[in-house]
Amino acid sequence: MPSKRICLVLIAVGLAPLMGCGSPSIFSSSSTSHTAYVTLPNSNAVAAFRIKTSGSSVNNNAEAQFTTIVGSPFPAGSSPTSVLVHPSGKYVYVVNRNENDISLFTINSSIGSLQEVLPRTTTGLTPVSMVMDSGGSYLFVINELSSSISTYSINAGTGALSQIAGSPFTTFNNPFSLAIAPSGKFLYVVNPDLTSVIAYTIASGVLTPVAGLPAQVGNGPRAITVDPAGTFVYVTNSADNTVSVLNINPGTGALTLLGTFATGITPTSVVALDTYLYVGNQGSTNVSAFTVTPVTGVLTEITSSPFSVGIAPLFEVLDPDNLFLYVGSQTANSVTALSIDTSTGALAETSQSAATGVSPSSMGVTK
Amino acid sequence: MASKRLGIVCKRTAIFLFMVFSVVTAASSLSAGQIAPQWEFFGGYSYMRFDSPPLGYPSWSNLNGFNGEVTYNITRRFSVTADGSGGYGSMITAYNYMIGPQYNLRKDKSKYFAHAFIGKAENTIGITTLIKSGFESVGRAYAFGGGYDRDLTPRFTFRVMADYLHTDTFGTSQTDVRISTGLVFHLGHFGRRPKL
Repeated sequence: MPSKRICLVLIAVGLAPLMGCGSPSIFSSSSTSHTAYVTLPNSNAVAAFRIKTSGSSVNNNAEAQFTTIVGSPFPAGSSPTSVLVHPSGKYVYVVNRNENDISLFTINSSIGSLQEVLPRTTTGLTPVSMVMDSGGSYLFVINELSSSISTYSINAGTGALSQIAGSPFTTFNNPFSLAIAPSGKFLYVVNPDLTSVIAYTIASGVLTPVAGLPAQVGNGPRAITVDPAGTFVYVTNSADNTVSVLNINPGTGALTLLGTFATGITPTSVVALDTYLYVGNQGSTNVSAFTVTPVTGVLTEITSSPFSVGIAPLFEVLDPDNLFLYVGSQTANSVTALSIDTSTGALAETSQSAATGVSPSSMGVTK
Repeated sequence: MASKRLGIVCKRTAIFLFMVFSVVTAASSLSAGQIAPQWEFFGGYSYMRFDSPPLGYPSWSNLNGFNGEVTYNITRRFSVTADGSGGYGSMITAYNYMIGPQYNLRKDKSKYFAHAFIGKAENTIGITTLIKSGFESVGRAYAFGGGYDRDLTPRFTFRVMADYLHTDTFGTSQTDVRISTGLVFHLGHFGRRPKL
């Protein structure tokens, strides 16, 4: 039965490509993937990328691969400046700065494309930044011209926003950036015109100023973040080229300045990863990396820091698996992946980046 | 990146070996010739492993659909085949229209063949945005593959075949694998009829 044998062999050989031939199989992959959304104010759109990551966090032995999702960029409102991904991975929120509203997008679960759900939700004047609590129940939006904070509850089933009674809450003139404690109990706001951090307690989305004087920081506070443990608040002082470390009173949310540490030139972004802190220096086109001493909050710059990124970093976003620091540049019109060595905190440039075509302003990544 | 390229090279090598193996083994083992119809019309089910990651998908997509071919036999061994297929998956529709030469080796009720096609791919991603519904891209397509036919009656043949399919759409390239099976209808012939 030579013909039968031949037939079987031919079929087996023909199917070999499907089995992957011992190389990385087309049926499975050890890599993980996330979708990333980047606001493009000049295009009134949101770019969408799939980021496939693989490798180890040790010795910067990780790879990230960006792929533009078909249909990207997706139309948004006028001048979208800030983006957030809901923890469920189902919704994306974008503030449209020139339109004074928020776009809600649903994320297509198959490919990661965005479809906007109309109508848009009204904010105050010139919304510039927003944060969400870790449970995805409340959304807080800073209105720069209105000098207020709009607060919305989020419908878990539809993603729809409903403004909380009493919102918008008045704050100091021209608020610019905000951060929320992991507990969801405290909100912190900075204003480049002030040298202080305004603190609020949160109760069912309602904001109440923390008693006492605002905590003092440096000049031109620009970016703010809270560490994952909810112990420290970090503020970049873009006019002083420093970063301030403040301690959070876990009971009241009040802040106490612990210290101020030198960064590169014009620090405009900051992210905290466990005991590491990364400050993006737009003026010196690099990222300063620090280790954080527990309790005291003292920052010690990591060997080889600052790390050159070759572009002027405007924003930084951590990879959900903590393998990469994604850095966005308005001058390079791109988002670049820097690998993180989690044993030392050191960063390493990778050749991986995503071209956005126009200036990006913020980025959100699905978990 | 390097591992992906390695996988593609491996796939291409496997298909090339498949084609070479088809020709060599069949040529060495076949002597008597099967009847050669003038025309062959194939229709059947097609499964495609679609290379959707370059389009933004997290993994490869499984497409189910159809495959049809019309083959004109110029000689008992050489023919020209027009191939059309459609695959449907999660928000993906893939159509391919190709034509190319085919080499056939026949013995009694069996036929082994290898072919190479070139043509057009038309891929559509069914996503909806505020201003558009469905994103379509048309580009080049080419394929290499082969298969096996087994006569059921003088007019009908059972076929199974596999192809490596390359398409260039949405500004990226996709390297797919397509497996098809179905029936072939014969029309006209030269040579002797098989004993069934």
